[in-house]
Amino acid sequence: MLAAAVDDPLVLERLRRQARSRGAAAFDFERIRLFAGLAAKVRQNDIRLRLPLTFTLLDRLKVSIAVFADYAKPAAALRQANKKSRADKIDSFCRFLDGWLDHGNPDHALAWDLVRHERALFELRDGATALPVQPGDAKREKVTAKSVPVRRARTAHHQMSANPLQLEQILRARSGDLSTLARGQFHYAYRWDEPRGCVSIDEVDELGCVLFDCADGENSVAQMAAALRHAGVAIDTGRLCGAVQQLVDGGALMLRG
Amino acid sequence: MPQIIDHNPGLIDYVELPFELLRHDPSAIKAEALAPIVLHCASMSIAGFVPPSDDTLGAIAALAERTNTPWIGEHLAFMSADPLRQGAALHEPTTLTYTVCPQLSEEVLQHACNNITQLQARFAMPLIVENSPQYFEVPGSTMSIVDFTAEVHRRCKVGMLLDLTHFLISARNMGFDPNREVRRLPLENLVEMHVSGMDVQSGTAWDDHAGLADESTFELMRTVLQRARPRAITFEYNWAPDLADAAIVGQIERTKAMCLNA
Repeated sequence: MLAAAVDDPLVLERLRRQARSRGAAAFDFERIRLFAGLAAKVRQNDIRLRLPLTFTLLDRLKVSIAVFADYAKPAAALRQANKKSRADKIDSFCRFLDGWLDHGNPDHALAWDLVRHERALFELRDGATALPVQPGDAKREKVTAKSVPVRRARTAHHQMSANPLQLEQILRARSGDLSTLARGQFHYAYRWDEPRGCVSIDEVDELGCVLFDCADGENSVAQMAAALRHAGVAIDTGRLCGAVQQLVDGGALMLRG
Repeated sequence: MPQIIDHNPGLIDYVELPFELLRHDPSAIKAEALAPIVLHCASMSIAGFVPPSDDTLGAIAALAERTNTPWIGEHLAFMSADPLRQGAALHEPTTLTYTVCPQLSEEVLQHACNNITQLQARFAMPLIVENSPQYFEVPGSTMSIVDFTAEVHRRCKVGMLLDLTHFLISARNMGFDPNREVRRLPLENLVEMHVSGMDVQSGTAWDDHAGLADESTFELMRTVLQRARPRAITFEYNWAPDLADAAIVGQIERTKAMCLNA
């Protein structure tokens, strides 16, 4: 019974319900559930290789056992669906973590920052080997009102509650103090830097973040400026050209045509 | 691992490899180029009532021969169990990916001893048995984990793999004094010790191979070294690739000094 309860979260739930209805519990079901969380955590050691600091942070926040105890059920469902690749496991875990974390809790917000940061890093690295070099990678282009910006394929952007690079440093130091991190609302653009052969991470302002979202390769800078003004943002086309130019120069956007 | 060995010649005497890793990824045998291999195992379900398959035992024996391991370490635990009957439905037989502390009873103890005797006959090298960490009271238990572990060693005369962290975890979770209780083990059987990290979450101490051993582990090690001399001490830091080499090297050097001065 113990083995079945550790192995299968549904069996554990059923046994727990039955014990509760009988009013007696020979098993410490909560500790068994947490133990199953430890087993589930160890089972994810292959994705830990890709998200090492996320695991470190969950340990440091003393929530990793609880996270993986709750993750046991989705993880079992994933195995039953025969989705055993590392990509499937990472995708499943990230989606689960998004739902599990209390995004209003500053510590949990760091975990959400970090898992997206580490995921962006390895996805961009993997993408760099999978995709051909995009034309215009090294070309400087002048942005005008008629320019049509588009996000580069090997880019991502995330809103973070802290600087992910500083968070990395603190966790690598093990004894570093998380309370020294400046907290707020920051935006970071991640891109694969072909000449340097690494991921480049730049902080962008809120406008840059909006542009990143809007640069779909369909609308010109003038059209984007008009849409922003329509939405109540006081901005002229010239200023928007400058903001787009920064993202183009930084390599996050390119111009179509 | 190769980096630590390259940068610290003479520091590491052997590499302990799990049988399960070698079975899943035979290329892991390349570690033998770095240092001699000691084989560790979590597949024999010594304290269980469902034996491992002949295939598994054959594979362990073959890898033991292939690696020329001086002994085979195995957990005093179970990882396979009989099917669970639930009403008329038959639950699938259960095979876990993680070893579980057994019921601490005379019936299980005697069964574990029988298993050890039978398994030992399959291998050309000695089997040594590792104490489980206890995370919760197992219903039906009639003795403490210390009594259970000690009695297995007394009855079977089997070599002891004392996992210091497992012992500390059991002590914390079950409420005993590790430095007092460890003296009740037949330490004359001691062959190997394991060291890893321990993490306390949700009011329970957990095994943590991603964290460094703390001071309490070294205190327990000192207590043991005053009474016995193991042939090997293994640092199990195999969950996190980002542990700093310098910290690991520092712990190994400290342990070597403790062995010399004991």
